[in-house]
Amino acid sequence: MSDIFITLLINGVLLASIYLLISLGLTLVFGVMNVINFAHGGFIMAGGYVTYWLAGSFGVDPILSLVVVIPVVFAGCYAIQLSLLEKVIGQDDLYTLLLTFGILLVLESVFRLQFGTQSQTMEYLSAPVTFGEVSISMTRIATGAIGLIAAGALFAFLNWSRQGQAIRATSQAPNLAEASGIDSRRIRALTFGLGGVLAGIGGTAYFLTYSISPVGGRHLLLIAFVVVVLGGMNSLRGTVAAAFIVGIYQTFVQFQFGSTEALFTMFIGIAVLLLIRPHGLFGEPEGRLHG
Amino acid sequence: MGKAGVGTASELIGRFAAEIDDRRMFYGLLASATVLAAIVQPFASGLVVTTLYFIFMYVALAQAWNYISGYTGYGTFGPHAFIGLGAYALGAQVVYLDVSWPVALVGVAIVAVVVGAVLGVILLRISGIYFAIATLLVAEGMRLGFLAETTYMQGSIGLTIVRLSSIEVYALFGVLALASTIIAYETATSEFGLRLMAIREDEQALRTLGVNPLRYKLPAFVIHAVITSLAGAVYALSLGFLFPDTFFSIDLTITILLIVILGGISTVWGPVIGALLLIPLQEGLRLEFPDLHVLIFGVALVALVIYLPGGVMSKVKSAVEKRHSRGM
Repeated sequence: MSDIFITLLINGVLLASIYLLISLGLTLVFGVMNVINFAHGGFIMAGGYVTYWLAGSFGVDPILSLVVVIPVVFAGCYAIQLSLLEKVIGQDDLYTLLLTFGILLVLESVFRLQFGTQSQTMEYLSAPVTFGEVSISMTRIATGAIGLIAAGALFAFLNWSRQGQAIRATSQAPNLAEASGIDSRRIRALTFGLGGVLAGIGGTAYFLTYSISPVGGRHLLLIAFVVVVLGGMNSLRGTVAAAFIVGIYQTFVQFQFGSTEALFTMFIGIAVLLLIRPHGLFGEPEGRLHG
Repeated sequence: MGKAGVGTASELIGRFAAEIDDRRMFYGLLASATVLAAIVQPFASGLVVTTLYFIFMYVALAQAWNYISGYTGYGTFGPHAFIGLGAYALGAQVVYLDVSWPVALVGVAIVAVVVGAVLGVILLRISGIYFAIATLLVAEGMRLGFLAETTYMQGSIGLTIVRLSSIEVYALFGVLALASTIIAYETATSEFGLRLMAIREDEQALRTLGVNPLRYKLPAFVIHAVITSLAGAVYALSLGFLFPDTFFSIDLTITILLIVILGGISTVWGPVIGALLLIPLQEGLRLEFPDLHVLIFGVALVALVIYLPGGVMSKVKSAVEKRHSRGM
């Protein structure tokens, strides 16, 4: 019995590390630009599809494919920010939501035209690893490890690099940051690129264990919304805690009651949470709440 | 030659738009549109009737969305929650209570009032991006709820209900489009509508004046819920079959939003113009380029938000202002 518990807990943590990666990108972009990015779902699948294409056409190892995924997604997102999103910065939320949803639709159709509507899976490291009575598949471990390493790298970058500090400064006090010589336009593009990279890595990591499809990003996007709202929109630390809560919760409820029930309670639960604590578990009350 | 043509056209549109604010003009236009819709119907082929009733459906849905999100400023991403609610509320009554569909439509409206009021009290406490995400998650949650409910609504198997003829559907959607446009017009020109727009502009200021915003935005949300649910119920009657993903689909919501933005947000004629322009185009694209239509739709959405955020109506309005300034 307790073996099942431990197995579920480990699987939950591994699932959470994917959610963490995906949600961090969303939180980062929201913090700097106040934009909820629907296209994020497309960027996740972009990572998965680049990996799929490289593995299928050139036999590239999925983990090695990150070397290509990261620059490709970064460049794409950097360009999208400068050419499209920059034009609606500061406008009503509705317009940025619609714009990013338009980008999502374009990405989804490109995937559909290029790779077909069916979902794709991958055979990779399928042997399980056994610790005593507890057995975890190797792919899940790889998936989780990628998530945790990338999340760690992000925090290191934000804390110790000049660029990272500039991103945090822009997020906390945009006017002050600009006044002290930070080019906020460039920082926005960098942030959006970085958010995309997190999504892309998340997509590759997700693809190791789960299947990808043209519209598969929407499901992950909704889960990322749950995580981000639970953690409190603008809080990176809150996102970390919320990702683990959501990942572990989903794994346990799914095991006990089924996957639809797990998601249903999550989505409705978040709506109720917003009623009690609109700023999530760790967000700052008020502030941008009515923005 | 080209320039003169544009000038005359905008002149014409300007005159049309200046007189459109007139109450007699508004009802005159609606009456002629109704007569036209009644005359056209017998001569139209199946495809044209279908396209027309989709236009009517989206006029109603877009007016309902504009009501809470355009005038009141609470941008909802969850109309498909009410589309699905209406469809399933109708299905439950028709299949399990053995109610005839006209009576069931009344039941749908009652259900929508109750659910709309409860959800409104909960969700209208938050605004902006939070409101958008919460409405989206509620809609998605409802889709999953109906998928999981396998005993009565038969989840992913689907539920068969009565199916109406396309003439009946045409008439029902026509009435709904007409009613929602009248409600929008009467609201926009009333004190109630003014209060809604005040909520959009500065809710805090309204509160400071001692006005409880919920007294206005809750009725707005309930009206949105009722019209949207009724459209969902008629949509269900047009298909004759219930399946969660058909009705609880974000694609319906995005089409609604695109129509309102295209036509002109917070305007009475915006949803009508948007639906008239977009739906035939969308149906045409779907038939001609089944693989590409979503791509084109996405590009159009991006281009519209960047280049024409005020919609067609904003162009019409600026044409009117130009004419007046020249005239005076």
